[in-house]
Amino acid sequence: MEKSFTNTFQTPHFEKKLEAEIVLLRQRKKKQKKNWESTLSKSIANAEFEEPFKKRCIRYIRKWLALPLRLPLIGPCLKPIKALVYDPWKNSRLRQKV
Amino acid sequence: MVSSNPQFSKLKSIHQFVSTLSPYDAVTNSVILCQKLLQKLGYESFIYVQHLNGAVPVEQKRYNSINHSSDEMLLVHHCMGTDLEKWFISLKNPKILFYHNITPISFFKLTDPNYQNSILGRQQLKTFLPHMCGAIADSEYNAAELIEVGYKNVETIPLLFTLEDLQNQPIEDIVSPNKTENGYLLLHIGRLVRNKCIHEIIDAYSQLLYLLEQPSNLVLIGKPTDTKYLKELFQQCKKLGISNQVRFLGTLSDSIKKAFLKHASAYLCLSEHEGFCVPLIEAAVNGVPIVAYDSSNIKNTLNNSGIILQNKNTDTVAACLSLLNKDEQLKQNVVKEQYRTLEKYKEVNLLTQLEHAIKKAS
Repeated sequence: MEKSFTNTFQTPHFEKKLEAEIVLLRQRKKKQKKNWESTLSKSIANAEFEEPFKKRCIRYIRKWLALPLRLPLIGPCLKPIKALVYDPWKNSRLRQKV
Repeated sequence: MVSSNPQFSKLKSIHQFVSTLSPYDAVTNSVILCQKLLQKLGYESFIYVQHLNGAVPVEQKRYNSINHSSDEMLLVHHCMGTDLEKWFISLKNPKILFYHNITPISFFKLTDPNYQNSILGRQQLKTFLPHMCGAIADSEYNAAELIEVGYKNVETIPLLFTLEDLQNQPIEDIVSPNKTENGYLLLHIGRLVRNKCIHEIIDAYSQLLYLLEQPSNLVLIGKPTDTKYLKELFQQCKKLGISNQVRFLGTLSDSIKKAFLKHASAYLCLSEHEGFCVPLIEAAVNGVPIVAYDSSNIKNTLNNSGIILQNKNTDTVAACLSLLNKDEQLKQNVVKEQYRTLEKYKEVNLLTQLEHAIKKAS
């Protein structure tokens, strides 16, 4: 891991604990991404969409979730999908976006 | 306490000049402290300003009422460009420059009025050089800048506050915005300007939320001087879905600020440029563990205590804050180490250093 400190707390013990905390953070973010993917995929599967459009929606979700975005930013990116899931016939512009 | 040196003993007054005084401002606090110390050393001492400000409850005199006399020394506080350059040079009085740092132009856009002011202020450091009989800097970082310009025998004295003043500040009896049983409060104090990287603090806080298992708040205390930047910060909080947890409180009185410091779980500073950064000491005095990015004078101010980061990776910052929250022993060690380094800010030490600087300049 890249050295983070130069002061008195730069001990191997501290660095080790910090590394473990970073791993935990990344695991939690990954888990959150997976949760999102499965929740949205389920909602899309149950929505009254035509099959090709369902596939497009899933592809759209995977595309966003694959990006190395900071997690909270993914929320707004997935907004069109959420809007469509709750109101499948919302408007055609929203469908085009997906 | 005036020295017995015959040349030095002629000096009966040491006055100060500052462009203007403003409430809750570090330079203003420094001017008021210097006046107190100079009077303790036995000198008559007035504060001369270019622009009077009634909001600061100290006696202020117009700059042009100063006596042109070689027996009256002038301590010139320099933290921005001034249009009184010719007046300074025409003064007969022996002068000591007190440098508080000027934010470099790289942190301003061309259209920002501070851009020109920053250029002028630095040019004047050179212009004033032959007219100053001494120089004081309030931090090692500022002293290095003066030495680079050509000043010799620069004294580094953190004449910004005394440890006793910070310890004895009254505390407002307020309930913390997050005073739940097990709430977490992340604090930052400072103007909401781009070079203080408030946007990165918000980013780091949004990551920290994945690791915290209790309700939390990010509290930002400080004047929003850049409206465009403030709008961007609001937008960022909205995008991240944390608008309800990030509190922009503006300028607060010292007693209310102290109440927040007492409740804070950690203090975070990711600033790119700090001439000194008084809030770090305020946090240390109040026993708040500090996580700070190693820029400009941060390491010197903290005297290598606190947790000083070499990079601003948001994951690392969040993990550090989380560790401090989970590991009580680590938190206690950090706080203890921070407190240990505060000795140099005691009034008696500042007084000795100031006396020495005046003797040298005389």
